[in-house]
Amino acid sequence: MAQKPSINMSEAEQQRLLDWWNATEKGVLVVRRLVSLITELRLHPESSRADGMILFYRAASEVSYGYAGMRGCIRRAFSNEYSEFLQNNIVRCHSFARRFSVDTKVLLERVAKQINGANALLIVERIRETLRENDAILTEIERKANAFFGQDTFQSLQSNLMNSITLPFSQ
Amino acid sequence: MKMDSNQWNGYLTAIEAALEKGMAAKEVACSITTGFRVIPSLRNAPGLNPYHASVADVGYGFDAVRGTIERFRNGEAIPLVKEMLVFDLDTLRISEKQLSPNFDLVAKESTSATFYLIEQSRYLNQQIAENINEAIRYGKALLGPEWNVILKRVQNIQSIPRL
Repeated sequence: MAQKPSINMSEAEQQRLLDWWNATEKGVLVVRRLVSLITELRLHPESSRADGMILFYRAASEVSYGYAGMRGCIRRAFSNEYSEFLQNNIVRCHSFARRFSVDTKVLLERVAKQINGANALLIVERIRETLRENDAILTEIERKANAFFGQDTFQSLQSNLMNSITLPFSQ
Repeated sequence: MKMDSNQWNGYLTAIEAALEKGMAAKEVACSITTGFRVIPSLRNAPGLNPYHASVADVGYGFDAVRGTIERFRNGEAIPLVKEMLVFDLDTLRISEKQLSPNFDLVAKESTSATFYLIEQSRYLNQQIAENINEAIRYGKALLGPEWNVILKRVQNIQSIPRL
């Protein structure tokens, strides 16, 4: 199944995929700042022992993973590996980034509750801002994905993904 | 021994370059690992979850080190900058060592149809390991004997259990 024949992309499709790639470039810069700030918070004596910290940075690592995975898929698509398999793959990576961004935001607020020190709270506020930037970029990426696949295909790929991670009806 | 800012910059650039070289490998490794989740023989393979977690940790480390260097270059005053660099670089070393044992468990479930994805992952992981080791060498050169002193301190944070 992994070696199904590759699909040829038209020039217009290649351009739209390049637009998607360019949007991830912005995302990568934001994610780098995000995880650097998170490392700072993990090390800071005012916050390092806060409840929720471990799950918080794990969630952020999956956001980074989601972007990296999308970019890896785009790289592979441009080196003649574009296939139905890869289509599912890239949608899955995008959904990773989206879903773990939600977890990261929820967990940040849990972590923030435990912090009183002014310096660590300043880092928390910067992480909040960075997560807002990240959300905006993921929305932009969704638009690029929609343009690349076409709305119907994008929706059906997304619903395939949801089905693949849901308990099926019993027979 | 004090290092002037030119030397600092030179080493930071070298660390960035080493991680930049590994970035494409890391991205393709993440893409392939996600693909394992839909391949029937691999999606529930023992080792896949911890392997995925280590791949994500490596991604976090790459991004964190580069993010810290970018913040530093933008003129931000980061009081813990050295601790952050040592912490993330040394944690990369640990995460990288965790890649292959779990990956080998996953690879046991591989079939001929997935052979090339397994082989490609193995190759990419080797490349990632080399780039991490290179970045750490420059990090150690940047900080000299201070590296070990800082490492001893950040080990308190490294020893916090994780998932």
